[in-house]
This record gives sequence, C-alpha cells and structure tokens, in this order.
Amino acid sequence: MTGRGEIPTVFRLSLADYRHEWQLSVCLIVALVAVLAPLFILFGLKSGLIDTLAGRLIQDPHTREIKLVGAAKLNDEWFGAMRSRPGVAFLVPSTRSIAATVVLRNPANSAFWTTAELIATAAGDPLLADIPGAEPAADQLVLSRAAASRLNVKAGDRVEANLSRQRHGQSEVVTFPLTVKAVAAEAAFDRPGAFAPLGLLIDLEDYRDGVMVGHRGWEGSAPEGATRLFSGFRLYARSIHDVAALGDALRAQSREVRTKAAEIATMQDLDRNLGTIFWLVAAVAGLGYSVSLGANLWAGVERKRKDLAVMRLLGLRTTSLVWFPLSQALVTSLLGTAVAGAIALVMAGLLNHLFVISEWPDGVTCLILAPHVAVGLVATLLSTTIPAILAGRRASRVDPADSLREV
Amino acid sequence: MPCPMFLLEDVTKERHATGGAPAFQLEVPLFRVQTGERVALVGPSGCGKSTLMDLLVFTMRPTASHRFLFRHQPGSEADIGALWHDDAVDALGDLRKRNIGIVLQTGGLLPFLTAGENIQLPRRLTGRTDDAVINTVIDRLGIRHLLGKKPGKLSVGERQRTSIARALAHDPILVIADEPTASLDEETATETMSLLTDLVERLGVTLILSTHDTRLVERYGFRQAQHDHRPSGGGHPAISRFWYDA
Repeated sequence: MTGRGEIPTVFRLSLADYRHEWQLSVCLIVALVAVLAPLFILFGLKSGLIDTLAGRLIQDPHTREIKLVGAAKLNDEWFGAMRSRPGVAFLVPSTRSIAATVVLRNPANSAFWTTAELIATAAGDPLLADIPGAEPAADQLVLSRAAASRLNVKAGDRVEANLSRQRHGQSEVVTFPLTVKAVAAEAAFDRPGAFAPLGLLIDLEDYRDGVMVGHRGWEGSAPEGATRLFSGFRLYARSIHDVAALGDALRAQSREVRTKAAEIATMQDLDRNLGTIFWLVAAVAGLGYSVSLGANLWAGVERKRKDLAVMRLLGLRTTSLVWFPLSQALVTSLLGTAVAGAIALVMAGLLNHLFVISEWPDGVTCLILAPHVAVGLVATLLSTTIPAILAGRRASRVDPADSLREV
Repeated sequence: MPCPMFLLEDVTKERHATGGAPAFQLEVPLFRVQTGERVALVGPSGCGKSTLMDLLVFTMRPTASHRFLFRHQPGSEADIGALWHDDAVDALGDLRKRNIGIVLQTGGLLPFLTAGENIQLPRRLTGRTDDAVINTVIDRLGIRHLLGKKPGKLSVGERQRTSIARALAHDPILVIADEPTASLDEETATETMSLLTDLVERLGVTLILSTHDTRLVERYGFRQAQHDHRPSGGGHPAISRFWYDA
C-alpha cells in the first residue's frame, strides 16, 4: 500500500480513536461550538440590522430625495442639464406649493372633503413605483392614502376640485372634475395630497396668478413671457450613493438643499464599524480557538505517542500519520460548525420573533444564511488545519522504536 | 551456502550521553540468521537486546555498518545500511510492514480498535485478502471469542495472544518478539510461548526473540546468540557485543 493509499486507513483509524475517546471528542466539538455559535449570532445580528437599515434606506425613495429649500427660478434648460447628470433617477418641475393646494370633495357626498397638496408627477416617479401604470393622465390624480380616506373614494371614482383666488378685489372660485387613477401607498405621502400631472399644476398656478387658462375656460390676464420658470423640483438620485454628489452639485449652484446624506453616511459608517468590530472579535476568537485546538491536538499526540509508534512500527508512513490528528480536526470542524450553525439558526429565529422591527416588517434582527455558515466552515477548516498539520508533523516524527520500549 | 535472511557484519550503534561522549556501544561483529531459525537474544536489562531489536526491525539507524543485508524473498536482498544512508525511512517501513511481524511485551495493541480490527490492520496495510491462514492462527490461539472486544477488556495473556495473531496476520517471513512473556505469570508465559513457537514452526516463519529468561531458550529449542558485556570505565563507554552464526 502506498503512502497515498494508506490515507483512508489512517482516516479510519483516526475516526476509530475519535469514537473511542468520544468524551474528549465531544469536549473539542463543544469548545468549537462555544466559539462559533456566538460568532454566527453576532454576524447574523450585524447582517440583519445592517441589511434592514440599508434595505430601508435603499428601498425607501425618500432617502434618495434631494429637497430644495426655498423657491428658485428654474427654466427648461436647467432641467435638461440636470436630467443629463449621472446619478439622476427622476426629476420633475414643481410649482409653488401655495398655488398647488386645492380643496377636493366627494361629489356623491359633499361631507367628505379635504384640502390636498398636489404633487407633480411623471413617468418613473419613485414614490409611485409600486403601482404599475400609475402615472396620471390629464385631469387624473393619484390620491395619497390619507386623502382617499378623507374623501371616502377609491381608484376609478371621481372627485371635485375647488380652486379659489382673489382678483381685482373679488373672490373667484372654479370647480372642475378629476378622476382618481389610483391610491398611493401610505409611505408615498403621509398627508392628504395627490399626485397630478405637471400640466394640471401649471394650470392651477396660472389661475392663482390671475393668468388666463384658455383650454379650461378660466379667465385672466394674458401670460407674460415665453419662458416658464418653475419655483422648485422633485429630484431623486439613482442610488443612495449618488445623493451626496447631487446635493453638492446643487449647493455649488448656490441652492440650499436638504438630503439624507448624513443618515446614509451614518448607516455606511455603522456597517463599516460593526464589520470591523465583528472581524476583530472573530479574529481574536478564531485565533484563541486555533491555539486551543492546536494545544489539544499536540497534547493528544503526546498522549498517544505509544499508539502512533505502534502504527509506525506496523509500517504506516510518516506522511500518512500527519492525517491522524488532521482527520480528527476536520471532523471536529465539520461537526462543530454544523452544531453551531443549527444553534445559531434557532437563536436567530428566536431573536427575530422577539425583536420585530415594527417600522420595517420585512426586516430581520438576525440574518444567518447558508453562505454565512459555509464561510464559517471554511474559516474554521482553515483555522484548524494549521495547528492540526503542526500536530500531524509531530505525530509523523514519533519514533517507532518508542513502542518497543515504552511498554 | 544459501544467502541468510539477516546478515550483519561489523554493525555498531553508539548511544550518547547528554554531554556528547558515547555512553553505550553495541557491537555486532557477525549476525547471520537463516530462514526458519529460532534465535534468542538473552541478557539482563541494559545489555543491548532492545538496541539490537531496534536495528533488526529497522527503527534505529546504525552508527556504522560494513554489511547489513535482509533477504526478504529468494534472490532479493535489501541493503539496510544503504537505505539508512539514503534516509529512506519509508522504504524501511515498507520492508518491515510486508515482511516482519512484531510481538511487543504487553501486546502493543491499538486501544481504539477491537482485537479483530487490530489483527486485520497489517492485512489491510499489505492488501491481504486470503483468510485461510489467519483463521487457522485465530483458532489455534483460541481467541475467536475475543475478536469483538477492545484491548482494555482483555487480560494480559489474551492481549499477548492477540498480538501474536496480529504479528502473523499478514503472512510475514520473520517474527520479532520483544520480551513477549515478561509481563505474564509462569503458566500463561508457558502457554503463550508454546503457541508462538508452534505457530511459527507450522508456518515456516523465522523467529528472533529477546528475553532475560534462559529457561525459555532451553525449553523451546532456541539457538542463543553469543553475548558479552564490558561495563564503562576508564573513559570508555559500556560495550555490549552480540554475535550469532548458525
């Protein structure tokens, strides 16, 4: 039998010894589980919390919004240039908010009414991304959930809009019908409001300014100037990583903007810092276990010196005997990781049950996935292989003559 | 004259004290063992028996050797001196594994294997599959009922009989027994020696035995290697000499 052919035999001998000394073997496995299970849970907590935080930040479009503070005068050229910037996901002009506020009524029952802020929307609006084909056409609205509730209407219903102004010292009111295209999710806009096409908002602003809106039959003065200037915008970055750059670009134009860049940076810092802490703890724990296992295996080799000498005397090759402690270390790693993974998964389930993140029902407190356990196994195998090989080299150097004398 | 199984000429082994000067020296001017012989190395503790046994099972490197040959099959000799010179430890291990069975003082059984598994181990290592001889040996030794037991559950005599079975399990040409009866009471020692010598004779296996009991040598027809010993003194180490030629 060649040295390589002996390895399965040595593996069987090693396992027989592992079973024979099962109490010591169980101690080795328990020692590994004691190190590995808390590490899995710690990593699961880090992953779960960061994943939830990052998921919330990434999935919540409000995080990607860049809000203009105050009013500006922005023309089409500015919007064109801004849209062409990398990192811009959605940009639509907005009119003055005071001009965009209307009173909406339920025509079937006028007791149901609300003041609603109309928000300019267009195709690809991130706040309406979860409603396919929600983009409202002319004279259509997507109501916020609060507005729909106050009006007691649903998608497909009609509402009546009342718009008032003061002109030449007289109060004037226009009433016009609008159709509810859809009702937005609670998270899209948490106050009474409605998403409307930009054209409608321009009409409202013109009416409020006393300007004639010919196609609606609203009287007023003739429009001034050929170029329309918008007082604001709704701007959303493509990802959370683009927010800071877009904010900086607008500030460079001397525009005051508000972003969630600081919150994003906090999350990224948290991720980085927790990651560093986790890997430091894992490294110290892993090193500690590695040294402890090495000492155990080394002591095992010394304790089994006579048995190893007998194996050498029976003709097992030096290189084959390296596999004696190595096989036991591998089995300890496999069993220890499996038990630690199972315990950690049970604990993760318990933690997720106990600590539900109410604001984020899809989020989890402790996230342990199969790849995490696989990485743990590889790391464990690596950290146990080195001391096991050192112990194995020690085993391979046992003098077979020892068995003749140490009897 | 046929080539002997073992031929050692002017083989020496020095053992050094911590300081570096030789404290003990074994000299083997001639050791020629023919196939089928029963040879005994007899002497008190510290006389060099174990050192010579170490040399004969290729676990100890000689300090010097003029000739050190081992004929493991007709017409095929291994130059043990040259293998040691080349540091071919695994080749020496292979020679030992295939050709030599070893009986140790208290059995030397692996505690984590059953008696049966211990006996099967040399067969597994040498790829033996024919069970006829080993079954005969097991029955002759009367240990079939012990095969499923771990060595810790066996008496010293049972362990020794299991050790004999293991030594013969892979059909070796030579059995080396190191004080096989030293740990046994007289009755068990007699029974064990009878079984060992009977089996090696039936199987045509050469037997080299180390013992301090001269009665065994006479009773079981061993030929005794010559031995003399000069204690240390006057700046020279203790020198032990063994020689044997049929």
